[in-house]
Amino acid sequence: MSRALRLTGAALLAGWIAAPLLPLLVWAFTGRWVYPALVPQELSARAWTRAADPHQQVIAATGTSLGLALATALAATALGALAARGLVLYRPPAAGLIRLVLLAPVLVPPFALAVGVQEVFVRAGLADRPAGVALVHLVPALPYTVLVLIGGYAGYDLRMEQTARTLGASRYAVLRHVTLPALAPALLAAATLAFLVSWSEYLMTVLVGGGVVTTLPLLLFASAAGSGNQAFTAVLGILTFVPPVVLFGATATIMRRHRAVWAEADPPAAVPGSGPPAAVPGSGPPAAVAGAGPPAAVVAAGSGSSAAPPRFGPSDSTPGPGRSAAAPEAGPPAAAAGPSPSATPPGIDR
Amino acid sequence: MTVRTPPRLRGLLLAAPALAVVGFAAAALLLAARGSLADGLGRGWSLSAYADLLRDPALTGSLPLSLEIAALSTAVSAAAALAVVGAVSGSRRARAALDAAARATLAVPHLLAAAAFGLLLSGAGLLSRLARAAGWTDGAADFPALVGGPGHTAVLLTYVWKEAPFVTIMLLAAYTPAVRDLETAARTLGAGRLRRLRHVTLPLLAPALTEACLLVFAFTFAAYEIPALLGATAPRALPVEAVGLYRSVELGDRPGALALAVVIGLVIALAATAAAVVSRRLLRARTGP
Repeated sequence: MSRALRLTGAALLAGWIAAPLLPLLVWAFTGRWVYPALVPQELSARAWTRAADPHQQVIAATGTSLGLALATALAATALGALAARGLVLYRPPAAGLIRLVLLAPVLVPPFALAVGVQEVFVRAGLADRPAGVALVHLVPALPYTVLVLIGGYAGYDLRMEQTARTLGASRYAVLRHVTLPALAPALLAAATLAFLVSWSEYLMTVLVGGGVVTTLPLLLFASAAGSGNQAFTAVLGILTFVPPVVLFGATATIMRRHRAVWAEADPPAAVPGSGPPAAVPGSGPPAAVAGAGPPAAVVAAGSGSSAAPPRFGPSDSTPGPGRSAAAPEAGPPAAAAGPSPSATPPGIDR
Repeated sequence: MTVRTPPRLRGLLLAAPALAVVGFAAAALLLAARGSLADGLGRGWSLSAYADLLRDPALTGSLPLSLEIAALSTAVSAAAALAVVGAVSGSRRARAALDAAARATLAVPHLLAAAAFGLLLSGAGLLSRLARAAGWTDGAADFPALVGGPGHTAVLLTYVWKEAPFVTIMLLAAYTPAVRDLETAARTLGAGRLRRLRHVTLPLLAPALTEACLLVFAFTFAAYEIPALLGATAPRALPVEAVGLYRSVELGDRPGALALAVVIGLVIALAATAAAVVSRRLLRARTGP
């Protein structure tokens, strides 16, 4: 009885999630599907041919979207890593306040930011340029990378770098062989989040790009709002959907493999870090190294005050702007942390 | 990068580039606020933009509408997420499956969700065809106006579809082994299912829930794509109205659009303050004065 109930619940949930997405797959290969037919009257790949036509700008827009998202991911991850390093390893004055300020942009309304930025850019000559759009995408992406990398640095031991230096490694060698490998999962999760924030952005791209910078979401919006060509809208939708999914899958796979390497090398060390609470900044034991820590830390950081570290003082216990891993559009981001549940060893969860 | 730099200063220096980006955003917001206080030509100081907003019936309808959309989306998403998380709380495998499903939904951009729900719920959409095949309606015109209708049903459904998984993930992350230990302890002491929920689970998940609700509210209040694609033409959601004014060819509309940006920002600031107060109370309730 309860088993039947559970299966029904799962089926309902799966149906609810798939309901809007599955029809897209059918629409994308439809030639003619006029109301009230339940199945398409004619199947065709016409919409795909149309998308491949250079006049429709789809290919160019995909390139622009990819370029912007990659640039945003790179810049946001680099800035986030530097800031997290400074906050976690060197504890500057007012670290709690700085952290709050860096996370605040998750709450900033996109319209207000876009019109304000446009005022700045018109004065600075950056209006209607891809570089300006990339700079705007950086603002909402930054909180996610900061948050993820604060988690990534939580279990990081600066003495590893010092030891390598003492043994004669150059600064570059330390970065290449100590810092980057230890932070790899967190860096990857952060970059994925930033990529998705930029990839999904619509309003700020329109307002700051001034119609000159055309990305995939702009084409999708235009088609959905006015064309009446459902097949073409569905094709654009699928094109918008595929890169995030591929990215997630790849990130999850890489993280799982990375963790496996660490787990084999040093099983006891991996265990304490893999439970979300242990991986929170400050509370994680130093032994909880990269492999298991960061993905879990993303989620834990999002979970908020229950696990808030005492380090940053009372100001930190307010859920000010963005104590949290994920803003709605971050949704995708939080998902980047995907593998964390699977990374939890069976023994620790009950 | 020298050993001589004092560590605390070094921490500040490392955070400086990221702080500069936030500083840039803050400057942009201040300039927008300044623009809202100018006259029609963008000069001087004047409150006329705000006075005009109060006189415009379209705009006075937009604020309650956006508040309603945001509040309903937040409440329904939170309730759904709580129910689902409560339902799977006993089983580790069910929790993992739920987590994976929620993450899959979160990967979908909001704009794509809006487009997909449009294809599903519009007059000629799939649901309308099913309703006709089942004999419930006689034609597309018979089908209730979910898209573009006065109830904003499609907008709300899309928001719940996107935000309930988000809240679910936040709750699952807070649902740690420590929480489950306390639940088990309460059960051992004889507490029933409801009492455990009321006295153990809910209080422990409340901080995460508060945060999730704030983020969902802030997002659904300020987002443009979904109400723009699926909402009614009058009254329109506040961000849709604001973008319309901003794009207007009339130069005099610009301060009005900027004033709307300020209004949107103020509402979110209020929501953030409220959430901060709530979570401080929660903390005090747990740790004592």
